[in-house]
Amino acid sequence: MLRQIGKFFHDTNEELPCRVWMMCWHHDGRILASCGDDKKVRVWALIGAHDADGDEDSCKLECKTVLDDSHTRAVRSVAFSHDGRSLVSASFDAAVVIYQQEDGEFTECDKLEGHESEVKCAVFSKSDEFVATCSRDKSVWFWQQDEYGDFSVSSILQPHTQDVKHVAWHPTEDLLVSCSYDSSIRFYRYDGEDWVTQQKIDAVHEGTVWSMAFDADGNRLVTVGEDHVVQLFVRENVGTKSADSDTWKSVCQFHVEDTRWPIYSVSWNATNDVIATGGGDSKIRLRSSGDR
Amino acid sequence: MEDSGFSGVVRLSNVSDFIAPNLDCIIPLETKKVEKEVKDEVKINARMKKKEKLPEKPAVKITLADCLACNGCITSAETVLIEEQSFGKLWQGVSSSKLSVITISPQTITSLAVKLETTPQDMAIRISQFFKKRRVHHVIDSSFARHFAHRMLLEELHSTPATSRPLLSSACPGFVCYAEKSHGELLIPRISKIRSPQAITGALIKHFLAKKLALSPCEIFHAAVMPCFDKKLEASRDQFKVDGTQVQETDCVVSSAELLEEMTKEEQEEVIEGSEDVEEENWLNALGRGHIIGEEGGASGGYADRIVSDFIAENGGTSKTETLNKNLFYTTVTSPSGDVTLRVAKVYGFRNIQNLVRKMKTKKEKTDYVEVMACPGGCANGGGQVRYDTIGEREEKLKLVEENYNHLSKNSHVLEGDWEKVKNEWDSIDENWRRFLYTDYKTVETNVTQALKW
Repeated sequence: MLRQIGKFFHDTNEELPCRVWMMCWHHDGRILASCGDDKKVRVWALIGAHDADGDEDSCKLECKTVLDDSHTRAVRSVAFSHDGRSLVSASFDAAVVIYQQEDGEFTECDKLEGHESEVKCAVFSKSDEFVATCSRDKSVWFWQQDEYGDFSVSSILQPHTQDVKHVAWHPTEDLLVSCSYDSSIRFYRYDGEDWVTQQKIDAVHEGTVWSMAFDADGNRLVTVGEDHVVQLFVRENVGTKSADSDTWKSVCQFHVEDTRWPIYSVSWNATNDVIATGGGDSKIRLRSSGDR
Repeated sequence: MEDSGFSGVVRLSNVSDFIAPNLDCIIPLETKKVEKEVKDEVKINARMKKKEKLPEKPAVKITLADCLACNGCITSAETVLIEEQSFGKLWQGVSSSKLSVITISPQTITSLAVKLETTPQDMAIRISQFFKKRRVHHVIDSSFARHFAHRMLLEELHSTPATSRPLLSSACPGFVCYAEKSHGELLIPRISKIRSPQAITGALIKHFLAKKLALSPCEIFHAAVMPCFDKKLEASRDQFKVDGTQVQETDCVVSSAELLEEMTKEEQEEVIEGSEDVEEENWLNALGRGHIIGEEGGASGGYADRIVSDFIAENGGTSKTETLNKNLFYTTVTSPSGDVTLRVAKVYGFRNIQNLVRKMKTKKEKTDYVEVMACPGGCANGGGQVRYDTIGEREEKLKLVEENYNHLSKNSHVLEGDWEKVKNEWDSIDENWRRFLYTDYKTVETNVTQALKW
């Protein structure tokens, strides 16, 4: 059973709170970042520990930092780096901002500008060397961080014909996947100098592909879309010499029957294989992926 | 969209969203106010008789100039371009003018030579004859005009204060378009005011040649064949209209690939040996004799290298070039005493342009002059060049095009003999002729739909 252990407002206006677009846990499990329509990014600290009895007071969030002068429009996504020292936010103002932790506080250290319109998602690669961003301008950008923490543009790709909604990194390799309003997903790989499109899968869902997530070893991928279908992809030819020959293939589709709303969000639990989806009907659904 | 010939820069900075081109264009609403008749007041119970009223409203037409003045979709502009700047229009222009001139870029010649497996010299003759058989009067080399630009590069750099550097080359219309639409404040003051070879040729034809032959600019038709679709956009700029008229100095631009298609549509034509042309060689006939003007410094116009060599000729020193990636080159000139006296870069491709802009924003860019080209690989790899199917083939042919280009003769008779002559004649026709070698840029305001904030 899931039960609520606390409720906190991203926006100080509790009467008329703004939309919270995204939350993200820091890898140490004690820091949470949130972002929303109020153009702000908040960094929260988790105080105390929740006990089995569910005593609500023993566990709470305390807002440590409000980052309110980085963006001029709604902030769509936040993500921590894997080393835990950086945070990246993506906004409808077309900018991506990198924050660095100093003395426990996150402060803006770089602004990655170049997208023409709303940036929908920004994430660090497993090694933290790259940040991938995607936008309504149909492009996917790869930003490379050098040893001094300076970012430069590594590649700009425009493989989609519409708004790119989401990008997700493979859990262990320099492999990225993007999904779009054009109903397709695209895979990208680093060839040592440039990022290149490795595989294109069209008509993955009817309508927009909203999100996707890899499993713990990165051999399976789940996508969700406007058609309220949850689709599972499996990687074939893994471990062959040539990276080009490893391809993804759809193996199963699960129609969520009891809704007519899109499924917007998906997350794959790395330890117990449970897939959680969030949809336009305000419901969270959990399902086990079972055996392959 | 994906396969349009426009450079990535132009496409990306003009993304059309969810709406098809014709649906979202607001230009007709803005520019042509439909005059409302007072009679049209709504009256209760007054039935309108059909046929009687409703005066014919003129069909609103979007022109390319409208598209260029708007920061909206490129798709509309593209549709209009395809209509306005095609071989159809070209032949129409040729047949309805007293004098017709076609300017051919050397990148076009080398691209077609590689495709048709011949020498650039032979290709130049074939292209020239192809047009002349179709009643074109002169087929000329765009490099002749580039020579005017090259002669002014160092002078312009000298007059650019350190705070306004780097000076950015202006020959790439994709970059100019991007700068005007996306980074006006930062980039426009830094773009070289010297015209591109195409634009200088336009003035040479519609000003110099028109005056010389006592023709009106509208009696002359001038088209250009370019390695680049964005050149069509450039040709349509307001800055390149003949003074006080609506006549463009370059009426029409077609791409290398379009020329190839047009030339191979019909049976291969035999090349006529020994033409009847007994005139002394000049800038108007040299190309037809297979004499192409070559330049040092690569297939993108050689602006950066020209600055370096002119600078060294003037101040001494030695240059060293570092290749950071296949589209990024840095050259430094070191004086005999060991000081770095000049920093010049070649920056090709959208990715490297982004990094240049980032460095300029943070004032980390230390170069004096940058040759900027929107296409990776520069103009030899322009969006209008002949296309090949596989990546391997593309790379192989691009290398051949570049090699061909680099082997073009650097000692051109035309340049040595005719350039000074044309310059002096132009000067005697109009002592302010130099103004035709310069242009300016302006920030394109974002349109209403893009200013919406939520």
